[in-house]
Amino acid sequence: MNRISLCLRVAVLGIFSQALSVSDLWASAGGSGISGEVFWQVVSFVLLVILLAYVLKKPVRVFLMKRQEDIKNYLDQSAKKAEESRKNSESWERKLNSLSQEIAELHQKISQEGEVERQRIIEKALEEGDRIRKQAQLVAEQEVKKARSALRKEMVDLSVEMAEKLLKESTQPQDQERLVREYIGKMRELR
Amino acid sequence: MISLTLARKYARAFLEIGLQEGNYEDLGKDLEKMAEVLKENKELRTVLASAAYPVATRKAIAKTIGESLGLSKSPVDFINILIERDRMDHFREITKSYESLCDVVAKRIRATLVTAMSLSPEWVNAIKGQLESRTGKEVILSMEQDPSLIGGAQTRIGNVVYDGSLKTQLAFAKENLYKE
Repeated sequence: MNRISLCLRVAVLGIFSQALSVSDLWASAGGSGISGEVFWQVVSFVLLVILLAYVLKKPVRVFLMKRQEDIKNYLDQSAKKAEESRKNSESWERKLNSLSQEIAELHQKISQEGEVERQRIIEKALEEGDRIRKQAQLVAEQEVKKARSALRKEMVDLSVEMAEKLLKESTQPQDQERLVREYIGKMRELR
Repeated sequence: MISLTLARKYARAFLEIGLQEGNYEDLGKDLEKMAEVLKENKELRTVLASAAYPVATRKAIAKTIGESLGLSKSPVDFINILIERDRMDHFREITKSYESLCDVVAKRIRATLVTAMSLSPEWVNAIKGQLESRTGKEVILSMEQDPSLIGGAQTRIGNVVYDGSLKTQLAFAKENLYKE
């Protein structure tokens, strides 16, 4: 690279110096035709140009091609990066979109599950309430039954007690004879 | 239970003697007299059953009591054997067992008639007749009075009870009223 640059610089300086000498010649001559020295200077200039063209053609071409290749690569890479960035961007957008959708689905799912759970709790509470109500009803019925039974027992006890007292007071010998007669009759029936 | 088995063993042995002599009923009555005396006299019962007193003394006491009660020889001898073998504490059970065995031999049964109030003899005989007719055996009926029966009568023969009392009828009525 430094060599090519040096060559280019030398060539440019040569051309510039030649150009100055030509202009000096033109000035000294007063613009009245080309002398022999000028001619040879022109020839040397042309030869120098040809030499330079010959010497520098290949490196310059290589340099330019390389440079072109570099730029092309750079552009390709930039395009690739841009494409990649675009893809990434699209991917992230998709992800964001899908995330939003996922969040929405999750939200919906949670809402549905919450609703199901709410329904289940309500049903369970209703069932439990029904069970407690039935149990309370059963207990109440049993208590009523027990109370009725106790009342009946008390009534019967009282009635029998009164009947016993009445019988003790009112049973006469003729009643006793009647009872014994019935007793003998029943013994006879037992056969 | 052992006492009952023992009592039956002695009673059976004594019944054999009575059957041989042909006076088992009289022997039973003698045993019953002695049992009554012992029942009424706790001290005498204790002395005759106690090994603390000499056998000869106890035998002498038994002989004296036997003579005063007019017991025949066999019952006194039987009591002497019981004294020798220290079995006088089972005398009441032995007498009862003898009585039962006699009833079996004589084909009779003992029944208890319980009434709330006194019953005229004709009704007692009517009940006795019914019981004899029912069992096919002679019935020795003993009477008891229990005012708690209120009215009617109740007869017990062993474990069997013929209940015609007002008390039981009221109890049945009570049970039926409970069920309704």
